[in-house]
Amino acid sequence: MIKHSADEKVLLWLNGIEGISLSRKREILTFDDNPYKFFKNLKSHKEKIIAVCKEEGYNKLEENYSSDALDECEKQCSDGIDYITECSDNYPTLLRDIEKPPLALYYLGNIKALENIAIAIVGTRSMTNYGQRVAEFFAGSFAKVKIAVVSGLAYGIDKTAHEKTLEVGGCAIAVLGGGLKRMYPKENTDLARRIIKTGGLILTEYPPERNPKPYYFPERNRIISGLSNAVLIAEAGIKSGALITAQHAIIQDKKLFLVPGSIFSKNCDGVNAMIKDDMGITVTEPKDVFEAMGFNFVSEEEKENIEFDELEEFIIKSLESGEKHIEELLKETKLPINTLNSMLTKLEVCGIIKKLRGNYYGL
Amino acid sequence: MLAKLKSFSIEGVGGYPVDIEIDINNGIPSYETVGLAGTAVKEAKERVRAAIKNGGYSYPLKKITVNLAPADTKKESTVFDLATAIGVLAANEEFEELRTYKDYIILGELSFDGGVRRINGVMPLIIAALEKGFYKFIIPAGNAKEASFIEKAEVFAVNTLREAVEFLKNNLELQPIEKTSFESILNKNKFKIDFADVKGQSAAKRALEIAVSGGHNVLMIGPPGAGKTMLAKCIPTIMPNMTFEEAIEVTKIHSIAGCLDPEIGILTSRPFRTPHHTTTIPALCGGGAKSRPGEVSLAHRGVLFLDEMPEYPRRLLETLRQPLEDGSITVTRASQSLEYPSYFMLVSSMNPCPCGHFGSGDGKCSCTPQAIKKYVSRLSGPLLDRIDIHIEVDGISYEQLRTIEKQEGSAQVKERVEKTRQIQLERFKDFKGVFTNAEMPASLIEKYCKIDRNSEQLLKRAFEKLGLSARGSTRILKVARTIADMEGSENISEENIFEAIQYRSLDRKYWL
Repeated sequence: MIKHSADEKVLLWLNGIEGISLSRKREILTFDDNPYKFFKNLKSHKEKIIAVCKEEGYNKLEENYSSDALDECEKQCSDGIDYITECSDNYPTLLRDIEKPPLALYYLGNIKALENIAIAIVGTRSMTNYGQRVAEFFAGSFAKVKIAVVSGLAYGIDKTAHEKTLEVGGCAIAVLGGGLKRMYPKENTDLARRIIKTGGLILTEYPPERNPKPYYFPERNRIISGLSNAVLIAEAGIKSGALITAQHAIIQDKKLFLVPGSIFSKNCDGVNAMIKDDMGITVTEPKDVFEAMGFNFVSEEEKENIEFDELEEFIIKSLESGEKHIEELLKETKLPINTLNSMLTKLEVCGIIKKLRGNYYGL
Repeated sequence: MLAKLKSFSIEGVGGYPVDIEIDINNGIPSYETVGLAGTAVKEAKERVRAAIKNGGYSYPLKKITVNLAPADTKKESTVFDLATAIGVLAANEEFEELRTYKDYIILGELSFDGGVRRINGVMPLIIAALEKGFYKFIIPAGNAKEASFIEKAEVFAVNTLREAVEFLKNNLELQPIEKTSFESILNKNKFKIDFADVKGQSAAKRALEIAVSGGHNVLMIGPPGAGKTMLAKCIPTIMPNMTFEEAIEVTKIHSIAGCLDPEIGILTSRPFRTPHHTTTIPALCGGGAKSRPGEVSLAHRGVLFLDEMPEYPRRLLETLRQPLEDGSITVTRASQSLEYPSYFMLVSSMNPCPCGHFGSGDGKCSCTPQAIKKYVSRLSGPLLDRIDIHIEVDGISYEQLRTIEKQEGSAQVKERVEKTRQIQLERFKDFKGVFTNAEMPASLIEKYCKIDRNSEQLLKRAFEKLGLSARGSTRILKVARTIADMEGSENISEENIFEAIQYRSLDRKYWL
């Protein structure tokens, strides 16, 4: 861990105290010139603090107050965990500009990842084949042009976005709604490890040992959008948490990209409603995003150079109009099922098509 | 005076000889059974008395003692009734001429009116006795069909105690029951369902054909109403016909369990067992107070179908591991240890999530990712390891249901399956206990599932690209071997491997 200043330690300490809201913490910090002074003179500010945070708030501070409290706080950051605070030089500027920037952020991995241009890709946890394709499509092309992909390490769209980013060798940033030692969901621990290993970053506002709580997730959504230059909603139903991220993006004046979905799917009505209300920029391909952000990337799909025979070309062509069920393909190609099956695997291994859930295939 | 008769008792799927000794003495009239007799045997006293009296003979008012030897094994059966009654009469000195009983193994349960009732397990008992060198039998007429398939035995079927007694006294002429040839009834076996009835589902049907051809276990994943159960029910219709030896093996088990059709007397089609998920472990594996073969044994040489597999308790599913591995199950209880054959093809189905609609594309699924994960993880790795083929089955639309032309029928598929099986039998003829590709141990996989370097590279690439789990590789090879056999080719081609990969659905990443 790099050496931190006393001010930083105080912010870390204050950030870790439960039961006082972030805005109140900020207010009481103004009672002195710098955080360290505030910490030293905590007792002398008692009256003023009580006026802001009530008796309980002050008691909370006093409970956690001791001569070695600051070092104790820092000790929680073991096993490679480090932190940045608002007084740190490398605190991301994007985040400073949002309404409620976190006092401190704990992280694992490469903090320099935040220097990249970043776009958040968020969406529902119960994604459909369509949502998966959207997330992979955009995450893949962003990562290829070295845009960091930010998401929340949850199931569904989040996970897909991270996975695809790693697959093409991009930079993944994940913001958690709990402590770094309380990875949630547990199943994604391995994904987190891979993100760290490949030069990505995992961040959270909460101390390492803090268990995730339901209301932490909406809170962390403001960081997801805050860290990013833009937010893209891949697939979201009307109740999806991704819409909260979208709200934050609007409040924080970030660009909000919306990918339209089927008008009949419950999983898309959230995004579709936002499009209808003109809340963001409707995009259907990465190029739209790059144009809106003023980037000059040419996104080119590099396909492996393999010779395909007539039938394989036919299958690829046929899938261009949308995903198809294996029965439909059978009918179209008039192939025996065994030939078709092995052909589909071949195309999949070549990276041309994809097997989706429920015997569907798509490009 | 003393009478000594021979009978047989069931143990596992075999039998052991039981000596019935009856001694009659003067004294206060009584009837005593010794020799670790269970309740059913003790109660024989009343049946024997009533049957003798109502059969028109006189019941000796003396002190009667019955001993069942070996006296230290528990006997829990009614097959001794008939022999005991004949013994009581014979020991009563009035019936010197009854002494011919010594030539026969006598099996049967008595009713009060002197009739002889059918019993369970006649086929295994006769076969066991034949092995011990006994050839002549008297059995209940109700069991005649079952016994008619056993060649060497000379079997006489009786309807009443009186018939048996008069026959032994040479007062009544009886013909040994006529032999039935297995082939003559084979064609009678008709299924209520046919492969042609399943509309669409070509992918699933192809997978099932491969599974049956190579004896691979199958897991079908799909939403409710997709036709998983119907597909499973079709499996017996495409399985190769049972050979006579197999039929005897299976019939023995069903005879002991008492679920044999007395009109036919032998199983002509492969069993299809569907134990419910509330089944207990003894019911599934066998055993229990009366040592009965369980569902896994009743499914011997056939199909064990577990519908909605994650609904079954974990403990129950884990007990399937031994039979899946060894083709037999050993039931060990305090008093004894029995082995039942249980070589079956496991066919199972499951929904992709608790509500059943995950992945159906219409966003109807309301399950949380945790719930789905938990649901899928109810099947343990070791169990899934024994299932070579997993496929996704999904519902077809109304249009498909109405318009699709008639499909290939079971008979054609079966013909192909039999051909493929023949190739395997030929290949494994020197290896004991291996009949199908699915049963190949590691050493044989190495020998018979060779692929060239090119294919090896492809397989490796497929693994990386598709995120398959490593332990699926031997399973893919085995299935590829079967596919190659179906084409009648010696070598496994690229296409075969590619196709086999399609049948490893659960290895895919999208299962969370």
